[in-house]
Amino acid sequence: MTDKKRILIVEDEKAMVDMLTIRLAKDGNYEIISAYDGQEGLQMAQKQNPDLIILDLMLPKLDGYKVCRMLKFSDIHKNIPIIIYSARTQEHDKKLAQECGADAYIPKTLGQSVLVDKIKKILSS
Amino acid sequence: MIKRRILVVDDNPNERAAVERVLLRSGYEVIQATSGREALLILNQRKIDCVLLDHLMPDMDGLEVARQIKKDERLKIIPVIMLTGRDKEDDVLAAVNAGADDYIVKTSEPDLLLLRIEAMLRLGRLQRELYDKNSLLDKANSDLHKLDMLKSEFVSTVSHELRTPLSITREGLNLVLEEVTGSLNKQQKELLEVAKNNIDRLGKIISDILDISKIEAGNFPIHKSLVSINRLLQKTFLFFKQRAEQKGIEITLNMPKTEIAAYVDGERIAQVLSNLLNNAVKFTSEGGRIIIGLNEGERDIVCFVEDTGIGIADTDLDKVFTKFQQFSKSYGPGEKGTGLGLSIAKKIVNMHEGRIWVESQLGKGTRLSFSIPKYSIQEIISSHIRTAIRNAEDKMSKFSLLIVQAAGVEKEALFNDIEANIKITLRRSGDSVFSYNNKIIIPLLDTDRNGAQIVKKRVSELCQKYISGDKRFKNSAFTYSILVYPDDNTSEDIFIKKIVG
Repeated sequence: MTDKKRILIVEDEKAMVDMLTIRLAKDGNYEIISAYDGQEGLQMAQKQNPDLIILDLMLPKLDGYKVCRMLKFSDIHKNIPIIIYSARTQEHDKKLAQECGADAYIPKTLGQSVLVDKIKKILSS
Repeated sequence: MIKRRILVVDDNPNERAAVERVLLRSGYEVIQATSGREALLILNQRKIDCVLLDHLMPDMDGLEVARQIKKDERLKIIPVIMLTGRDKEDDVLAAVNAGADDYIVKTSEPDLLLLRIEAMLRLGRLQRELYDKNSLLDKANSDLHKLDMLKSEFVSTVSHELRTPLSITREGLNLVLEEVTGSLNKQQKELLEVAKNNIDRLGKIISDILDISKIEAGNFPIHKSLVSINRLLQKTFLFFKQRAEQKGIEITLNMPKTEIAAYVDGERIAQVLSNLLNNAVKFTSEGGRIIIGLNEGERDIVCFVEDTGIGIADTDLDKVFTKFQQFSKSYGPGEKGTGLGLSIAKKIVNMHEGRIWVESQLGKGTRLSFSIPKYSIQEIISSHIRTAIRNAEDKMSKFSLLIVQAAGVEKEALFNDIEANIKITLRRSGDSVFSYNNKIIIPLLDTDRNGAQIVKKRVSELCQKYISGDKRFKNSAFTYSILVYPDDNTSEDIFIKKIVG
C-alpha cells in the first residue's frame, strides 16, 4: 500500500496540465487529477478530497479567486493547501491571492520547476 | 430665403399687435404668446430665432421666463430681448441678471427695435454655429476617449492571449532542457537555450508594450510606501549578477552603509533599475565593467548604472528616452533592445517627481542616472494620509488609522519587528507602517472600524509578546487609538494633529 499524494490541477490549458504531469511523474509518486474550468475544479475538490490543489486564476465558468475563497470558507475543505499558479504577475494580483486565503502564490513566469519545489515543500510539512 | 421667426410675449393684446405690425412689415414671421407659460411651451415645440419678452406680466413675469430659457441647455442659445416700460437702471440690471441678451424701451422708434432684432439674430446665428461645433467636438472627444479605452483593453487582452502560448512553449523547452524527458548533447542544449532566451525576450517585449499602453492610458497607478533603497539595489544587483558574470562582465555595487529610505513605489523603482541594468548588460561586451551606485544628496537620492559598453553617439543622446528608439542596430549582430525600457523608466521616474539623465561617450561607455526627491517623515505621512483619504473618497470606502503609542520601549527594534510582523501575520502587503514621535502609525486602507479593531487586537498581542519576560520593558506600556474616515468627522488636518500631538 503506497502513500500516494493526490494533486488536483485546475487549469484551462491542457498542455500546461500535461507538462506538469510529466514533471511530477518524474519527480515523485503522485496521483494527478485535473479540471479544466473553475466549476469542475470546485466539484472535484469537494468530492475527491485531494491533498493539494494547483489553481489557475483566469478560468472559464468560475474564476480561481472564487474557487479558492469557497474552499477556504468551508470547514471541511479549508485545510487543503492551495497554490495559485497564474500568469498574472502584478503586486495587486499577489495581494488578491493572499486575501482569498491561498497558501502560496507562484507566478507562471517563474516556471514549473519552482512550482514543483513548492509542492514538495508543502506536502512534506 | 427662410423667414426669421420671432416670438412676441406680452399679456397686453394691443401691444402685441403693435409689435407684430412692425415685424411683419419687415418680413419676419411672428408668433404670439399671451403669457410666460405659453411662451415656454411654444419654445419647446417650435424653432424660434429671437424672443421679444414683456417685462411685466401676471403669473410668470418676463424675468422669470428669461431665467427659464437661459437655464435650458437647448433653449439658452436663443437671443432674448426684454421689453421694458421705462428706461430705468434697475430694470435694465434685472433684465441682464435674468439672462436677457438685450433690452429695449417699449416707446422706442420702430426702426430702433428692428435694428436691435437684427443684431440679436446675428448673435443668435453665431451662437448656434458655436453650439453645433461644440457638440461636434464633444462627440469627437467622447469617441476618442472610447477608442482609447478600447485600445488599452485590446492591448491588455492581446498581451494575455500572447502570454499563454508563450509560457506553454517555455515550459516545454524547460522540460526538455532540464533533461526530464531524456539526456541531450551539448549542441542540442545550446540551441534550446537560445530558443528559451528569445522566448524570454518576447515576454519582456509584451510586458513593456502593456506597460507603455497603461502609462499612456493613465492607468498605471503608483503605490508609494517607505522603501529601503539599499535593499532594493541589493536585490536587483543579485538578480543581474549571474547574467553579467556569465557574459564575462564584472559587476559591482557601490552604496553607503547607512540605510537610505525613500517614499516610492518599490516595485516600480525596481523596474527602472532593471531596465537600466538590462541595457548595461546588453551593450557591454566580455571583459567590461558595470557599476551600480547610490548617492544621497541634500534634497534627493541619486541612483546610477555605469557601464564600459558601446556608448551612444552625441547626436542620439537626446533620443534615448523616446519610445522605439534603438541605436544598437548599426552595431552588427549584437543584442537588440525593445526601445521601450528607457522610455518606461523615464515615465516612472517622472511619476515620482524625479529626473533621469544620460551621459555617454561612443565606444567608451554610458552612465544613466535618476534622482528621487527626499521627503521629511512628516511630508511622507501627510502625503500618505492624503492619498488614503482620496482613495476612500473615490471608492466610497473607509480609511482607518491605528496609532500605537509606546512608552519606555526601545523604539527602533520594536518598530522593525512590528512592521515585519504586521506584513506577515495580517497578510496585508500593501500597508505601510511609520514610526514618528514615539508612535507607531499604521494607516489601513479600505478598512472600517471593525477591521481596524481586528488589526488592533493582533498588533496589541504582538506588542505584549514582544515585551513580556524582558526586564528592560518592565515599565513599558502601550496605548492604542483608532481614527476612521469619514466616520469620525476626520480630515487630513485632524489625522496630522493626532499624529504630531
